[in-house]
Amino acid sequence: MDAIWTERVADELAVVSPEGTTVRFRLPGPADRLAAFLIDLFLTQLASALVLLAVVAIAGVAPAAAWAVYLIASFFLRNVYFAFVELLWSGQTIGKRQLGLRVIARDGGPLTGQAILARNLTREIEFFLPMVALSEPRRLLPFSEGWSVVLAVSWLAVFAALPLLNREHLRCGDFLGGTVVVRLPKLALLSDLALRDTRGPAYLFSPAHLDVYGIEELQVLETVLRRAAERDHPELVDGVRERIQRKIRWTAGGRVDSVEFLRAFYEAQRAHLERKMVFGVRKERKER
Amino acid sequence: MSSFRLRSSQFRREREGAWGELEVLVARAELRGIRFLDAGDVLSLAALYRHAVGSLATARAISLDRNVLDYLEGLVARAHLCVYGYRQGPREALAEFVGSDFPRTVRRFGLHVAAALAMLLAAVGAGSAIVASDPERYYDVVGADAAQGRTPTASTEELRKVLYGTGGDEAFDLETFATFLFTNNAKVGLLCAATGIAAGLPVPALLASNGLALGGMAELYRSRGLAVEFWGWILPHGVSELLAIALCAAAGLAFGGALLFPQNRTRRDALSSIGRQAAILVLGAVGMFLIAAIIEGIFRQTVQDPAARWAVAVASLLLWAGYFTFGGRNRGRDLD
Repeated sequence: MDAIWTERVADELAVVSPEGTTVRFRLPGPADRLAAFLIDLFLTQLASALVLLAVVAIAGVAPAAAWAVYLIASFFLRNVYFAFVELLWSGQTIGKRQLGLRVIARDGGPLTGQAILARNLTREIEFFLPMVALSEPRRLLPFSEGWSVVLAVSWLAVFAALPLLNREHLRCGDFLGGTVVVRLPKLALLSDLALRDTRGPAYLFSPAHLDVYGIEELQVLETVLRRAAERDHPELVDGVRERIQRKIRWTAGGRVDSVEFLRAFYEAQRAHLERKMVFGVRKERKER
Repeated sequence: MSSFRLRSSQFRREREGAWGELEVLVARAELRGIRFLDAGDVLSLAALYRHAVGSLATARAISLDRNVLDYLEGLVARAHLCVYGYRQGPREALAEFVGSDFPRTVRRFGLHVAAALAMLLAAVGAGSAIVASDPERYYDVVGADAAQGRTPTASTEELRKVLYGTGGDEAFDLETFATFLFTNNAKVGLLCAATGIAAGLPVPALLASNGLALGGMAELYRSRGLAVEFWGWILPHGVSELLAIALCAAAGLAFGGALLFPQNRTRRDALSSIGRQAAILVLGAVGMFLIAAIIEGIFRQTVQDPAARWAVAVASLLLWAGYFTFGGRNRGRDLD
């Protein structure tokens, strides 16, 4: 049963709203951040290449100057793109939209333009500067190509390692701007499993049956039932029913319909635990 | 159906309509921005948000339906961003930065800027004094890569040609401009990185190396009777560029100061608050470097008259002085 249960993980950012409620945001992993950045990087570099093609087609630039045109186009496009789009879409770029990420102020307050400018223009120092240096090492340290490469690579590595070394995966720019990237939660309100026709429960349970399990098991059962509602999982529901019956020592005379049993048990168990919760008792999980 | 066996089911049934309405409004606000909602929608967004916050608080206390809890957590988080995480558009952000944040931060760090400028000017003076006392030491103060042929062995004519060279064909100009962009950014980047790591200690060294080279070169030109032309060549963009270097250095000094003397705050708090303001200084300096690069790349190649060059230099000095003295004074909002 543990395999389908995803524990509420610790990678959360809690913000206290002015109403006094804690608002929780999920934090994306470094891989999502990197993927979003790569999408944006690809788009800006594509645009720079198109600018270069257009300049070559219209003005006919010498090959030596083509690289310069590309560098200049890329410099302006990437700096304008990141800052402008994040300002326009309140903390999202095309890449972040694709991955459902968003920049917010770390204190949950308004995301100011100042913060967005700070976090985006820092990219220049964090990533693009050493990349340009790698493309032409002699510009960094005129006396040694080898040391230039070492310097540029370690520069990149330091800034790339920073998000891996703090819990909220903050870049250098996030530290400066006071921002953090969060995952925008997907919203899906499914049907209430406890809400059924007026026929009444198919199976009955005594308080002794309901005192075995806690909230964690109830919510695992919820996951199982939602899965079974999507698609038939006969061996899953049969297995779960058998385990529950054995654990709470519940027996019936005739044949027991697994889904019906689980739904009735879910409803009775939830009513039981919610009633206890109103009286101040939260039973988190079963005693082993 | 009138009665529910579960209180949490009844709770949900009574409120899910309002949640759905909020979800639709949030989706619209996220897609186009809250400014594109009409007044009625904005009001109901705020009201529905507060309603959902209440629902979330209640649900946490009475409901064990994980789907409802997750849904409400997500809904409240997204609505919270729509209501409180309001943003500025690109135009407002730029206007606030140029019209208020940047000049005000420069004034706030006035002492640091003054100290950096003093160090820079002292280094210029020292550089010219060193070269004046012994021309052989020109190579000590002006690096070989910075000199680019402007050495004591060059003839006066060659030196003059550098000042009035047209830079050749268009392709060459573009390349110098790209190089420029890169070296300027490298300068800023190095300053920032160095100050962050070493508590601002490298700042005087960087200022000294910049100032010494400039002073040494100026002395070389002065000794050939080209002082007015030389400064006319340097200053039109040099005013902006040297000021920008001073601002970066001031940011570095402030950062180092916060690291060494955090006063009554923790070091982390002091650094993040100074860091944000230092970022404003550096951002503004980047803009000034760009302006300098444009003046150098375009204006200097096309205007050869020393009087016109001097006029631009003086005008840019007055403009920056006026901007940093009076910019953003009428704004009421206080900086962090």
